Amino acid sequence: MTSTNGAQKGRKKTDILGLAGFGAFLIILGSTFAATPNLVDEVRGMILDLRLEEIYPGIFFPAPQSSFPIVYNALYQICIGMVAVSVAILAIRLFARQPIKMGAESLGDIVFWAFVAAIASMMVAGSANVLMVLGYFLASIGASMVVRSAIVLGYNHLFGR
Amino acid sequence: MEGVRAVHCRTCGALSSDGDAYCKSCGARLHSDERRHISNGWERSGNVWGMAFGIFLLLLGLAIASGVNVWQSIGAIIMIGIGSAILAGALVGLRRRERE
Repeated sequence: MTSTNGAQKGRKKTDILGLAGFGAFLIILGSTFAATPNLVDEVRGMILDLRLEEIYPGIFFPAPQSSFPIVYNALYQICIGMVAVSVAILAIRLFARQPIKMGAESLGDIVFWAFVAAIASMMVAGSANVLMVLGYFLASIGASMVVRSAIVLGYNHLFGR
Repeated sequence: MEGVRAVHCRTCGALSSDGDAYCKSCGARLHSDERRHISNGWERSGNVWGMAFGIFLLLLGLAIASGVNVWQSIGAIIMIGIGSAILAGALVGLRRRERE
């Protein structure tokens, strides 16, 4: 009985849509690598091109010395794909009337991927330096966390949970 | 039920595992409102901390991106961030206590 209960509990706790989202991420990643010629070489070149850059007096951060538009463009495509996947997951969660916490997580994911897509497009255009990339990346994590928490808190406040 | 705490249903007396929300036999709720209240409290304070940390990261990131030398005053920024989170947590706790 114990193992049956444990299995049932395990099955209940598995977030199937979250797992599907991870699967979709791997598919998008694989498709981008398959569809972009020389992407592996470009990524390898970018990693080898990383040098420590002084972002503040005495503070160093690794940054590529040259521009790698193919890599940035691939990153942009992955982010746009993940925004689309997250929107679809959010729609399914709303349709299936899943708990608000799950919906908030999907919306947080949309905000995160949209922010990273914006950073990638700035990198493609060549208008972002290492400080801007680092700063906007931190801001994207922060914005995603704020959206998740604000939705759950707001919903609980409005509906008195 | 080795390794899993068992609870008796208050309605029909059937044995269920502690993790279950409802009795498998009669469908009655297994845990009191108090336990749900504690769980909601934890979840709420987690969200308040998440929100405070998120706002901190968002502002820090925007400051770095706009070229402000945050490293010079990183100690002060961390202190303000922790202070704001504690203040927000205290205000939420105060409000909860007022409701009770």
